[in-house]
Amino acid sequence: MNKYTVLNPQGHRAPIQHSPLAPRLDSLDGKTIYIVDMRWPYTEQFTKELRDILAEKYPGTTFIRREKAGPYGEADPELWKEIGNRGDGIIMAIGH
Amino acid sequence: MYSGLVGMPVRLINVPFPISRLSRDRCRDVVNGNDPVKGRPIIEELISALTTPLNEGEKRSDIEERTEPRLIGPDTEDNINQLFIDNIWTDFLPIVLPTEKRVEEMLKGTSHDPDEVVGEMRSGYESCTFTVEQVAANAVMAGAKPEYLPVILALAESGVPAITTSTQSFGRMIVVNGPIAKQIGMNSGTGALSPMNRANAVIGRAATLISINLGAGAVPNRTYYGSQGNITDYNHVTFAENEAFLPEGWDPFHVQIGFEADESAVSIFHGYTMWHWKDTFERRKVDALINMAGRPLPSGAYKSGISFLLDPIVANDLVEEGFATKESVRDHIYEQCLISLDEYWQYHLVEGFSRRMAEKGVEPYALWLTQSGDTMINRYRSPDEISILVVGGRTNDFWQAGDWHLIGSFSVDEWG
Repeated sequence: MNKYTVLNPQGHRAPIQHSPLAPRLDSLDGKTIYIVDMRWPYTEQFTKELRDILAEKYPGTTFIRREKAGPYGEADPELWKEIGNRGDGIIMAIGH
Repeated sequence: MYSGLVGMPVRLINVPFPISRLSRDRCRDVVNGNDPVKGRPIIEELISALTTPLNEGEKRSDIEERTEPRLIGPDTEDNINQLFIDNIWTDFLPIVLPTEKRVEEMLKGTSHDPDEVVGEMRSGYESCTFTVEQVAANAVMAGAKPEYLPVILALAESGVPAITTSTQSFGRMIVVNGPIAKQIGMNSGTGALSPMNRANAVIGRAATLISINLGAGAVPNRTYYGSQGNITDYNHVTFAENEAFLPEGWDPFHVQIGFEADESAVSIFHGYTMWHWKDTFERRKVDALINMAGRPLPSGAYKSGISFLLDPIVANDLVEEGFATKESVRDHIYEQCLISLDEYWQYHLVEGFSRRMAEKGVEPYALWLTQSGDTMINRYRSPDEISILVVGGRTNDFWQAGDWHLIGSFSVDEWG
């Protein structure tokens, strides 16, 4: 049976620079967790309910809901700075 | 999950889509329900994501080198075909195996060195760079002749993937202008948009294979999330403009955007779908065009547009109606196609993009937010968002429109 050697059709993938996650929290007690709504249209109700349910279930934790400025694909450096200064964790809600 | 492919792990919790426009009760049901992928309660998953210590993979900070062999095999034809299917290096139509000899023959279609880096493309979550030889390998797979290669190299150099990862199921339209179209036998006449011509068919298919293999994308639920996909992805509406039958005074599309008539270029458009003039009733053709131009998403911070694909008969009818140039048609449609702000702000993507920019003070959106709802604005932001293309074999005064707007036009001659 004939055998063939062919060109690999794939492009060159760059080396991966792995970035570690931030260390996790030992406990949520006394902590502040931001819930960031990326603002896909009309998702605000969902993130409000998420905040309220988490607050009901974990009364020792402060959950702050914030809406990111600009369209959903843009960064919001001011908000990232605020979370870095005041928050202990973040839940990013990316929705359709 | 797959952001791990580019080195940044993410702890993902899934919720049933969509979450947009849900009632309060439905939102609460969703939040109190299960992650549809993992089958566990969403709340527990969220808390776990915040508190479970990192695993070894999540702690990595090293650099991971990746190398792929240039050659595959030797092996049997069946085994290599199966390998390409298993690795999703194909569009699942039969391929021509890119043997060294076939790729060498394909490379006769360009004066460029096989090792020359052509560019970079990202269809999914990471970019690839690629060489002339790798583009040629994909051209062989698609069934190309060597003389098609400059067009395919121009498509690859553009860096514009024909298939992208979005959940929105985007499509593309690919239009070739200039002498190359005739030289390689592209169809711009009867049946130009149907599978009836090798060059049209193969160049469109090559754009798909490039997206898959050189853009590292188009794998469902991994690098592609278009919920329904898009039927235009099969060929990306690839055709040549019928320059031979343009009315006098009507420039070829590539000339309209700055190329010389004796240069060749390939233009790539972004959109979703097409429809046709049978949905219109107006007696004057230009009025029917205005009717059709009122259908796509109004343009704004999220760019929209429309392209008309006119049979040469229709182009000549428009000349008879007083439009001596493509630009005069385009400008008239732009001026006549209006929308009220009341209607404008109701569009989903206007809400997601233009309103957000308005809130940041970006004009004209900020001004529009202060104006009354009955204020009329142009549906398109510029006449340039309206493209006029002539294609067809003069068997009917038929035309179609698609919500295609130009991404860019790229020189083919540079790749000869």
